[in-house]
Amino acid sequence: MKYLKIKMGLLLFLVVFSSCEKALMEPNPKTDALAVFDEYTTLVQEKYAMLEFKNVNINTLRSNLRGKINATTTQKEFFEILGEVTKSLRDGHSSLIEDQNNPNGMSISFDLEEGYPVGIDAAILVNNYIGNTVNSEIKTLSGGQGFRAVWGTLPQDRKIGYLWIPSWNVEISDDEIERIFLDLKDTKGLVFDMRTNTGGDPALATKFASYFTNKPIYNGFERFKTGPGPNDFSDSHITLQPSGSANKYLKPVMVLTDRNVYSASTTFLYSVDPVESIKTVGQRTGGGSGSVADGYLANGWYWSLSTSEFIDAQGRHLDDGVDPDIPVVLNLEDTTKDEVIERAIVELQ
Amino acid sequence: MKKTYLIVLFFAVSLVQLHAQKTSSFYVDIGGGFSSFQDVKYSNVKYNGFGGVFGLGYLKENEKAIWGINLQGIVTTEKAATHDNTVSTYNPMLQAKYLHRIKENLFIGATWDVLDLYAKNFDGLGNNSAYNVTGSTLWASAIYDYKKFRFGLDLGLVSYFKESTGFAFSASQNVLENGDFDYQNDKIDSPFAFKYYELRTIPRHFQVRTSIRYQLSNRFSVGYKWHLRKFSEVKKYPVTYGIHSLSIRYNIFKRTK
Repeated sequence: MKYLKIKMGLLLFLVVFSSCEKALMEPNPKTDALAVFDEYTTLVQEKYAMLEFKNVNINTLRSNLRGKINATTTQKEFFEILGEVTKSLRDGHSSLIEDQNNPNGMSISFDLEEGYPVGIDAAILVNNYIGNTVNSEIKTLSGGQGFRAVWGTLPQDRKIGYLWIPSWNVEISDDEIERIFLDLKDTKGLVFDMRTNTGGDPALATKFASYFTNKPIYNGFERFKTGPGPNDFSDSHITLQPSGSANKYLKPVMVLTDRNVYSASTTFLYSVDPVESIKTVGQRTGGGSGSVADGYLANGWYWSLSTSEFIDAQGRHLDDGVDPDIPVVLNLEDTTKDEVIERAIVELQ
Repeated sequence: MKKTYLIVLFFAVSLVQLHAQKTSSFYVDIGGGFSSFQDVKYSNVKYNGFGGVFGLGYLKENEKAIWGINLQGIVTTEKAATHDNTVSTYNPMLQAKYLHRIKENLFIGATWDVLDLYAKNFDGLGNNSAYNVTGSTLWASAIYDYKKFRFGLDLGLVSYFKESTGFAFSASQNVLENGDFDYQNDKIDSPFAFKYYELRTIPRHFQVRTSIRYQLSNRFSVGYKWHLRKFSEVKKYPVTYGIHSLSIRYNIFKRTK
């Protein structure tokens, strides 16, 4: 009897308190199509940082699309209706995915390459510039999805250095970065191949950028959404601080670009843009200047959105990409050379 | 800040050493926990789930006071209420407390959560996968003894902390609002960058903790604890979480003089 009272007391205590925090929480949202539609469009309205720049009127879009949802709307139809909102942003950072664990599930994101020629041909690159059979002086950092970094000199001119970072979505240690720049130190110019690099860690991209200047450089500002209102923004002004390394690279650099130069690669480009000895060669970049937030809708669909944008020192909005200083298109018919690299070599000679 | 912590801890320990000892115990706690979480900045969906609790501590009690230090850790896996995605939650905490005896069975004093690291890892997310609230809290504390029961109540007075995620990005709200964001600033991602800590008090930052412990024998006791926290670094977009734990305490030693 004595223990029964204790047990009952404990149970009562548990029941009373276990629901307490839930009483202080907002109720769970509904998961029907209209509720999820409202949830997503509200997220875009409150969090997306570039509605004005992308010329998207979310209220008009919402009223146009909401009426298309009714009791007979299938899941696929609903996803496509919601995807219209995602597509309207024309933003590679903004996506909608039905189920991340299902590669065959529905997804919507912006195709950066649509309407643009191919920017790089791996076979041409390997067979003529960086493959072991044509270039024994190339060094690599393995890892990632192949290599984390490829560097050395080019067989066409041994005084010209070559550096390819296929992705910023890797870890490259400070010692490894030092090793790369030490090896490139005695070259007269550098081809920095950034093609295919769709981004990753902007801090790593910034660390590389800091090797290309010996003085602080004002880059512009990142404008963050800081609240739900249309004018709730705050600007973080960015000045690139130079690396403290003795192996900084202050000679001419040609950065090779294509449409896949995106996100953290844009961070690298705006960081070094004011440096006069650095030029871009190739195609218009993809952009993706902002930082990304992500989450799940009430029905479990994954969303990501750009919640900031970068405006550079010249006042340019960078999110839709930037044209290169020297436009060059790859000729895939001629497999003996990469026109973009060749043009960069000419500029550096 | 680290120095301040050590100095205050030293004085607290020295002060209580002056009191005559009555009972001292070194204990280990083990049990289960249930946690729930909601961050309205990103979704109204609640996350709930179960996990384990581990703790160890030292407690001294005499005719004038109770004091003790406690290290505890809670690990749970929560699932979203409306879909299948999960989040892992880790909550290690180091506490020190001192309560003065007011009546024979009533103690009033303070608890200091020297370090409270509440960290979450959302499966499948990118930049928003990691969420943490790191800091320190000073609580007003009360303990009431009734037969073999010990009831505890803590009310958070002031918290000095940093939330890792702001309204629309995985950086503290004050970092973004103050225009301090910079990829060359390592402190932004560090949970221990005091520059970005905020001092918050009730009611903007509400914390309450209750406990009930039943002494089964000289060595064993069973206890239930509940911790509720609700705060909003972005107005009208609160973060709320609760942690419940039920644990068995084993006194590795318990001496009465």
